[in-house]
Amino acid sequence: MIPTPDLAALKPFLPDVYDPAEDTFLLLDALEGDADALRTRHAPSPSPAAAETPTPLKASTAPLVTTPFIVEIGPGSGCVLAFLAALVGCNAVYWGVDMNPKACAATRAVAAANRVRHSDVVMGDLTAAMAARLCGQVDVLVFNPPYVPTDDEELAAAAPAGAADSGPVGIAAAWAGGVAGRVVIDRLMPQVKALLSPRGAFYLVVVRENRPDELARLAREQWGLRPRMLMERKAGYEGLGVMKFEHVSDE
Amino acid sequence: MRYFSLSATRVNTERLLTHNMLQCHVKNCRPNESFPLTIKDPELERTEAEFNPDFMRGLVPKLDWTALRKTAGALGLGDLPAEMPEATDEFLQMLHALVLETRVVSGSMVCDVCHHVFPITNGIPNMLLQADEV
Ligand SMILES: [Zn+2]
Repeated sequence: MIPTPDLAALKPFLPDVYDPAEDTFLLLDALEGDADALRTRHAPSPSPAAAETPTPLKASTAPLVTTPFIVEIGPGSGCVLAFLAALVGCNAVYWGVDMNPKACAATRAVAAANRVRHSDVVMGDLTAAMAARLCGQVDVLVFNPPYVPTDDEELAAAAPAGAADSGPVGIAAAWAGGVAGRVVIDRLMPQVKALLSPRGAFYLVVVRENRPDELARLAREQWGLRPRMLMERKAGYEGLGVMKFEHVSDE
Repeated sequence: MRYFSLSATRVNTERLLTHNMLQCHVKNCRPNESFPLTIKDPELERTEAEFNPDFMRGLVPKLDWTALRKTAGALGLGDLPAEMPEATDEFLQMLHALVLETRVVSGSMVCDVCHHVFPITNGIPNMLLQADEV
């Protein structure tokens, strides 16, 4: 079992960032449950030290597997990013993209405290600034979105998309999800297929109110993705789930 | 596996690898034309990272060489050849130092087409836009 990351570095940032809770822990469990898929499909080629006979560097030798790119949208505390690094390993590049400057700083601090070797933080709205370059290159995409159904006022107060002029983005952006809690999810979903590498997978936290069945249907019919409910759990009044989306295979 | 707490660790600030991934996304801008963003008034930092040739070989196809070459030249970090050289150990070490060990602590990234300025503060690039720029 992979331990929960050390979150001591998170303390100075509370309560301005999302403190890991039941939804976070369900995501960790779902990722760990999918560890085989994450490790075998995203592990880079073995290092010469690990191989029985060290392979000399050959210019013409194409890499067996490209170095994995792992992106978490809205990392908040950085807990999931650090957990993924422990799960998949340090030979991958990790990016956390968050709108909240304090969440960016917290993610960086927690990643550093947990010895994530290659991680960077970008302050941004979803993957907007990286989408073109990350196109077809993301091997693992993770999003624990603001999924709580809220009215328009609460959503506006959470300063969503591009509202840098309404002041710093605060903690409400971590949970306020608009109608059916789907506003942010539905903004990201159409871009997922283009971001994922051929072996890529997208992990999404949902609640019952997000209508997971409808998400699955839209994934198949509109977003060109193969959906699967990976894990479900009831936490108090919340019916939580983690969905996994992959490319539709030709087989 | 055991984790230890933060005091001895250094912070992760923007690497040139990340710069190689960022584009202007202002509405109606021409991101391909303005890529890479021009780094202005940079405070650069070099931090040592463990060299792993396989990791670097796997990273090469994911980089935009032309953009990296332009940025390295502009920052005075060396003249890279127009064509990416063969993946010799020496080349991979150079690339490792350039994209993984070179960090921008502060400064800004400017779009040469629409002139939008994306600030880098405490090593974190701010790619957020105003509502009317999206
Ligand atoms: Zn621009």
